[in-house]
Amino acid sequence: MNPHVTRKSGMRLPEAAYREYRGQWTALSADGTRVVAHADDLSTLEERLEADGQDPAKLIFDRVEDDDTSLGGAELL
Amino acid sequence: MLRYSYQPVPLSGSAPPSLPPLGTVRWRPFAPVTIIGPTGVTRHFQRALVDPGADDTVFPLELVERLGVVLRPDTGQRLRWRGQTYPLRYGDADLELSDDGASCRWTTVVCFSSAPIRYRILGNAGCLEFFNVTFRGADRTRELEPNLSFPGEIGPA
Repeated sequence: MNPHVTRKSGMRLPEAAYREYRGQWTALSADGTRVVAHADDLSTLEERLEADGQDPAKLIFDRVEDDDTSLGGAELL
Repeated sequence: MLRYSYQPVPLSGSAPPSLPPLGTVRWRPFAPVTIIGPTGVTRHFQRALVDPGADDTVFPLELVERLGVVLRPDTGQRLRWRGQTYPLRYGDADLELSDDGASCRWTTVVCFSSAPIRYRILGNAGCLEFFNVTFRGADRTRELEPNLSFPGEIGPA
């Protein structure tokens, strides 16, 4: 088990992520409460974390939705 | 057994007719997931969509190099996403699902794609085939219970 990050089942993205980072990848603090870094794509985000000396294994990754409707696997067509 | 609450996703605009008129969120069945590469490098994603309509378990292709995943030979699988075709590549990795009380970790074949898919997907092959899943819509919770085919280890969270 990854001991570094909080993984409570009810954890939610911080409100700030929805306000400021729609459509972007975000790295959250280990407790999930704070956006540490963000970027348009995952590779750029990893590079920024690396440049900042952050350990990605101790962070939580998520991409903030940029629209309101998800049709799940049905969209893969 | 793993239990998760649906999570609210704020709407950016007005509510569609399928939601209450004053609705401000969508409730979606996410689960937090950790993917572990063969060298032990991990990445934790807060939200992966538990999606029995998805054939595969899908993560961003950009992870492959970071995790040290060795891709299997390209077998020509493709997906069309929003009008564009993307290759699907497969590799072996560990996945770990946990809630407040238990943790399930197993080695499986994961699909990696460069398609800009909205969420990481926990689909049938590689994930849901190993669990009996109950969606409790009214309660906005779901339960994943490892079934007899679960190939990994179950432990405390």
